[in-house]
Amino acid sequence: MDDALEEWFIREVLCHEPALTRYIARFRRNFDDIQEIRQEVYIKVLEAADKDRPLTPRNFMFTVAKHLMLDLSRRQRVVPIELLQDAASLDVLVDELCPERRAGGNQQLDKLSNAFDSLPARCREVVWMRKILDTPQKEIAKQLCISEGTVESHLVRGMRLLAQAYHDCEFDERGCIVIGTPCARQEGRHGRH
Amino acid sequence: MGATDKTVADIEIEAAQWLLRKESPKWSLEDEKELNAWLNASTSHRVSFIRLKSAWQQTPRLKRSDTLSSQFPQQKHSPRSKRGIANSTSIHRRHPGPAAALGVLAAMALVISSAMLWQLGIDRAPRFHTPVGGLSIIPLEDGSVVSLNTDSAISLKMTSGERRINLLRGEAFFDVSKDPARDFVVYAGTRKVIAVGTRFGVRINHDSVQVAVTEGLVRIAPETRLIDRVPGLRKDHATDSNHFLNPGEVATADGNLVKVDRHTIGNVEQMLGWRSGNVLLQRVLLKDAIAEFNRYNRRKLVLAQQDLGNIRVGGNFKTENIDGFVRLLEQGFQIHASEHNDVIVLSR
Repeated sequence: MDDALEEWFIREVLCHEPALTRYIARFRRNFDDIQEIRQEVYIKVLEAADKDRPLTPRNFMFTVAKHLMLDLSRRQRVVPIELLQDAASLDVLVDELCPERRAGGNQQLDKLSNAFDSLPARCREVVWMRKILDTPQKEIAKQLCISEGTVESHLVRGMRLLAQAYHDCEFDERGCIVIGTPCARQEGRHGRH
Repeated sequence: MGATDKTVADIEIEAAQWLLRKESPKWSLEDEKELNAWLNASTSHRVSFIRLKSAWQQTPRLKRSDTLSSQFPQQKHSPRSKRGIANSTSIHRRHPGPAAALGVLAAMALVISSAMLWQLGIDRAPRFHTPVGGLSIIPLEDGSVVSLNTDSAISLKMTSGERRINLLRGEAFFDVSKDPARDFVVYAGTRKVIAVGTRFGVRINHDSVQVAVTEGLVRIAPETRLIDRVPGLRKDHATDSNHFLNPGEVATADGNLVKVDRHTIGNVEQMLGWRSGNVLLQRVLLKDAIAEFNRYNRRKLVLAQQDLGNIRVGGNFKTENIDGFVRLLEQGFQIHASEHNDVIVLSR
């Protein structure tokens, strides 16, 4: 898989993560489930695009999502009442969910900045030292008087939280940033989020 | 699904570890081969890798322009600086974080990195709100987690002496992390709820505040400062006692009176079922059931005849499942529903 495909994926597919997440959240409230389904959609889109680049990536992604949801509902013994068996109910007004709002350079930096803000304090500090001040992990451990293992934990957590906050983040009609799709997140306090 | 039983979280952790290794100066050709093997092992690996990398590799952009950096020297820890930068913010966030003062400076068309302002230690009281039908999970820096129900709003103020939440509107659930040095206090209406290591919900209704506890002990106290400001509420009434609530207990504080009902913990969890997207109706009047559904949905239920509202209904529903609820009313109670412009009129 080449860099061009990766660039395409980031630019044309990942940018729709908020809309995709909201779509899946109509049928599953639990964040872990949403995340698994979202990943499955991305996998199918990436694999298909590797063979043949879709002309309308957004529509293609939602078609994949719709078929996946139908599939899942068929496999379940008990069909939840909200997943009506009539496939038309899953039809998404694609234009309604994905307004033409490409993140320009400034918007991208805003999203990044907000994602960074959303990190827990210690995590943020470690990420700041590593990525902005370019301090090596060993040095960070020494300066903050924590173990190198802890530094790595913070960086791993920070990286994951940043990605979540950065991708699932969009601007509303007033130009205000809204991070995160409303859904139930079943994480323990010491959970792996 | 993928070839393994790994969850997305597992794969993300692996991808993150790879990204960190790749940044190390000891990265070799051998490592590169190992990484490629891992990426090729499953498309899921590749997806997570791309997703993490695309945000991570942009973080150095947060290093601000020369004009700002020269004024504010880089420091290892956030200093307690008191710069007078306008504190207005037009950003609604669902996660706490440092200040984003986009007042004067934004007018200068600079993208202010709030990461910069964090370094200056600027304080502010973050506010969070949910739309109708929304549900937000807000992790706090002390490890507590706040769940915010439909159409609700809170503001936070975490200081060294107190962890304070103002429930401005609606309903929230608090999973409070133990911190012996600081009380966790939720201000709602004319009451405050004080907790240390507990789980409880608070809901503001039109004229009352309801507190339901599932774990630990909470204390409900009158918030006298607010009572001072409310005309007609006399101070001696306001000095009514503190109320302690145990798991399974639900208190309704209405003006001066506090009524406590005892339930099983399981029952209280069901009452708080909105956290999993459920609304429990326990043989309630139809008019109350309708009010409850209307909290969660833009499409509103309305009764054509008021006496219909006295029918008793029950059940456990997904909050957005108005259609299911209406179908049951049609089938079980011969109620007729007609919808127009997001209003569903129920009649018989």
